[in-house]
Amino acid sequence: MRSSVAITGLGSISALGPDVPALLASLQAGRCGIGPIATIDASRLAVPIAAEIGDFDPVPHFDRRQLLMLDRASQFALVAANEAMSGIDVATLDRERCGVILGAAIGQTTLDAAYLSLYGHDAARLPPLTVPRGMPSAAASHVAMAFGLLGPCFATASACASAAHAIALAAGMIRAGQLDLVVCGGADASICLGYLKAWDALRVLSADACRPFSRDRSGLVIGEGAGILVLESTAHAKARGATIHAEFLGAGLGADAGDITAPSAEGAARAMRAALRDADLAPDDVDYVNAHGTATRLNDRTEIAALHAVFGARTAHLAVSSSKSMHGHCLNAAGGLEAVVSVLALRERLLPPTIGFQQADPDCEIDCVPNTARRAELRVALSNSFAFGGLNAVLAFGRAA
Amino acid sequence: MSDAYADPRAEEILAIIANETRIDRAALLPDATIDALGIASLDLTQAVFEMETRFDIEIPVVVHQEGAEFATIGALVAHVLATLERANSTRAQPTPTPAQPSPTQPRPALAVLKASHPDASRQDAA
Repeated sequence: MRSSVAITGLGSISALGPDVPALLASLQAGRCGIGPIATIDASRLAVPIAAEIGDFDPVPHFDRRQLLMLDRASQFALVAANEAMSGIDVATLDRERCGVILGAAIGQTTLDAAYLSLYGHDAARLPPLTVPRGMPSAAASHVAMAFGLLGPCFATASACASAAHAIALAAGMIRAGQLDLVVCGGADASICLGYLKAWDALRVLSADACRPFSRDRSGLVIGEGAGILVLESTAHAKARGATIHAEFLGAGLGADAGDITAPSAEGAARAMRAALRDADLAPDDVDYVNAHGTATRLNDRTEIAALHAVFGARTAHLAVSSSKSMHGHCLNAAGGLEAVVSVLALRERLLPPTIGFQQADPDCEIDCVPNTARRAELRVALSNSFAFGGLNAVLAFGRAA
Repeated sequence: MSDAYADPRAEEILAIIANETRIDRAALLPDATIDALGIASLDLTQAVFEMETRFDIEIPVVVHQEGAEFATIGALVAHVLATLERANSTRAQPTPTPAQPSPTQPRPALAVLKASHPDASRQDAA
């Protein structure tokens, strides 16, 4: 029999605030974290808006030596992991049975600055920490180092589903009895000129706001931050008297095997059905879906078509919201941050809103919790991540018993 | 090896090593081994990078059959001084190579990097 899995720690940092209480307050208030880009010179960007953590100062969190080694993404990962692990006494854990699995946290700002100095300013040499800061597994390593966790530690790469895949793998290893506890989720800090110019070129960024499911939606808005969860076998959690925020019920992973950017309703529906099957749930059991909801014309239309395929006539009344409208699309961290949002929804009996909603779209017939958060008795929530390359990951969470 | 310490530039090299490794300058004796001082390889690499930046030179990698790149502090200082000597003799006799636009002024590589890198400038301030 497989072990059941509990969520015993939550951590986040995003444009919606430096920690989980701030995130929750923002979700309740429907606060928008999107604004003009201020952390870099955005004058060359076609789309100069993002959901930035503009006031983040790493100095209080890290000493000077540590900071030299940390890309901004690793800094976010550590800040959120610290919050998620607060209250957990590592000395009481069998550290070989504790792992770290994070979505790939590419050192975008480190690499961008290094290449700028090399190509743009003819630098003779680059800082020796460029490689260890830039590697996508660095954030996971730093989290393992911070807590002395000796179990499996690695990063998953599946574009915007990376963190969701990390959580699914973490749960799978706990269910299989391989691990007691895993720090999982993701961190992303991609707001640098090189990478945002590349996003500009895709012509999917909105120039004004992220308005998922609204008829006048105009594209996605890039965000940054981290969402970290501590997953733990329920027996282990209960034995140490841990707080259980919610239960992990299942995951559905799959590939469209179709197109490198265009989403597929069939692929998304397959992943949702797989998650329900894995969680031993029927579609009628689901109370809330935290949508992938990027606010591109194609994603939202396709995701709603997939929901119709899975939930049938119920879809029109199903609560499906996109918290990306508030914290932006945090790319490789998105699945982690949105898993934290989904767990908060269950724990706080809260339907996070889709803000910026102006006009119903006949292609998006759902209850998107427009503009204002609502109270609701939620038992089961799905968190959808549908990445470029047709990489789909759906997580199912349940309210703590 | 202790001759190296007589060079006027040695003190600056030692100050960089002390700063990057957080080891007291007084402990950085010529015969002190990197191992005995407990200097992490990454800290030593960072110190070499700071010297490269300070003196605008490229300090070549020393390949040893066994052990670390430098056994002692004295060996490191001597290697940096030898590199500086070579660089000075090259700069004293500039060869006309128009195809290679090598700047005559030292390039402020780190200054440029810090200007373009918010973290780096914060580290400097910290």
